[in-house]
Amino acid sequence: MTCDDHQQMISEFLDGELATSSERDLFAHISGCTSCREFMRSSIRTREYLAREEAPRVPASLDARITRLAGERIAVRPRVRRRILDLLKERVSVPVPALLLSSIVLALSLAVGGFLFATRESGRGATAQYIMSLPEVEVRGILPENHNQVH
Amino acid sequence: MRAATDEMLLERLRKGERDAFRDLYERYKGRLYAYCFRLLRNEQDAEDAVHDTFVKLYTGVDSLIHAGAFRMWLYRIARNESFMILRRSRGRSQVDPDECWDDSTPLQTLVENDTADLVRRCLGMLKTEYRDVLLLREYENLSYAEIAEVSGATVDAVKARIFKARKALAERLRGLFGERERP
Repeated sequence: MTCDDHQQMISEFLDGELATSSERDLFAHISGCTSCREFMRSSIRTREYLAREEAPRVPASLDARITRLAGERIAVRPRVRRRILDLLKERVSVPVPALLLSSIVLALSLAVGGFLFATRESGRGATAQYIMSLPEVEVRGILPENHNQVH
Repeated sequence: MRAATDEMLLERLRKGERDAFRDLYERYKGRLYAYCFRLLRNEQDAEDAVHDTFVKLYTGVDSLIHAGAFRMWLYRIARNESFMILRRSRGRSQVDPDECWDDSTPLQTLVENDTADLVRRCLGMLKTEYRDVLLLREYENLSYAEIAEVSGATVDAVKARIFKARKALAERLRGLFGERERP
């Protein structure tokens, strides 16, 4: 491992992100390496100085803008409208097996329904064709009196 | 009386309570403003970034499903707003992964006796992407996983970026914090 690798480990160690198992190797290397020791010292001192720094003051103009924002936004978002939007965004959780079962049942229903519908339609077509091909006399014999009105 | 949690405030905000919005603002404004200010190094830009972040909070509160991740979500929005401002002002968005320093502000031009200020200014001179991860780590105290969540990078990329930033800082501060340093 190079010094760069060890210095990356130092960086992780300082952030509490280095695996405990690697710490022993790291400190064994540091004890004999001036460059890595210097990097560690510099990183620690940098952190100390940054920790002492005061946070910048939030400007009053930002507070004022946020106050205005809250007033404006609430005015344009009436409760009823928001509730409808909430309802549209409502999420429900469905167990995967139940979802699969429902999908299969739906698919089967569609397939069976479609098949039955197609069979019925083709049956009707065949019957109508047969009736139309019959001679006039025979048609009168089997069709109801108001057959002409129907057609 | 125990302070309301973020989750409770968000729930109240969803119901349209403006006080909850103000409470969330009061809770996070200091941290977000400091983060944006240190990243952008400009008061007006930082103010705009924080303002736009809270606009997004208000308009996007319904889409925030996991209230537990609220803090990270807020930092992510603030970060995106800050980067957008930087892109607008500089017209650049990419960084050479091996280039840590912004050449437009070399350390040599600094005439600074105060060590704390020197450290802060050196940090401010790091390129944005490096400064960003170091700010989130050193000031905001976020873990690598949290920084990865905020920045949309992998944990390994965050590790590497933080190391490079520290290495670059150590190089510039060499001599100041060296072995022969006197307290």
